[in-house]
Amino acid sequence: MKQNNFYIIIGIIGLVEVLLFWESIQSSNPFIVGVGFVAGALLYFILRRKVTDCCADERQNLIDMKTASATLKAFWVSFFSVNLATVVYVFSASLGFQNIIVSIPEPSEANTMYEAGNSLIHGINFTRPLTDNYSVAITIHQNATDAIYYTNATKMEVINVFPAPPEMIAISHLGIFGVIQILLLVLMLFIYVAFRIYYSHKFGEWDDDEE
Amino acid sequence: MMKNKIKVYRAMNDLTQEGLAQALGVTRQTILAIEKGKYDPSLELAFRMAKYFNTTIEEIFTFEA
Repeated sequence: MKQNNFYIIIGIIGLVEVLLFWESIQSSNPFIVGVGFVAGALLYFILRRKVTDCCADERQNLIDMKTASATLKAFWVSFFSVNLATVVYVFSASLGFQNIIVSIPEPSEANTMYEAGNSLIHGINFTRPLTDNYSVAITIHQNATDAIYYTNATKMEVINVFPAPPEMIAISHLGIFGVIQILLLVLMLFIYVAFRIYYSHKFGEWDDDEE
Repeated sequence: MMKNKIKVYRAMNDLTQEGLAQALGVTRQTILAIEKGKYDPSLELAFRMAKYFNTTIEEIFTFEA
């Protein structure tokens, strides 16, 4: 395989990864981008070995190694410090995050009241639309042993309830962790590029030829 | 610090940096970096270079503390 073809394929893989990332967010499924990234990385390493006209000599290998090593060192420190701070933030609140699945059975007639037993759920009120025409309203009482559901839905619905009492971290604050992770990833890219430029310059990558 | 006489040997053999790089299986930038003292070649590359010029490593490379 020619090196130019390799670069074109890698560009396409990069675009696919971005699309997978987007789809993963849209469908709230982290496995899509996780598996997609591993597959993309494997494809990259396999394709790179099939390039025939690549001339990577020992100096370029040294630049690669030194850049990777320096990036790892710098990123390790930043990653560790940010994650330590995150751990402290999470530990500052009560633990016990869990998803409680609430099943709403199919009603025999509209506005039927159902009772579900043994649901130890903290107080939470929300309305989840099912379709344009139907909606379900759920009220789960504080410290209730029985949860009461009012529904006019025609289908069985499973809802993930994320209990967030006041002493816990608000759900709205969890988004900041995603932003921090994105910043870390961008930081890693910038650190890599910066070290790459530094070591390429140090080992004469862009020196002029006097001949 | 490592010094070398690659440029002299290239001139003696009427070789360009590109020609020497192709003969040794490295890039022209590597030959340029070695000549300028920005990169110290591996022992293997130094041996191959000495063999190519039909001389010894000590003749091409000298170490100055």
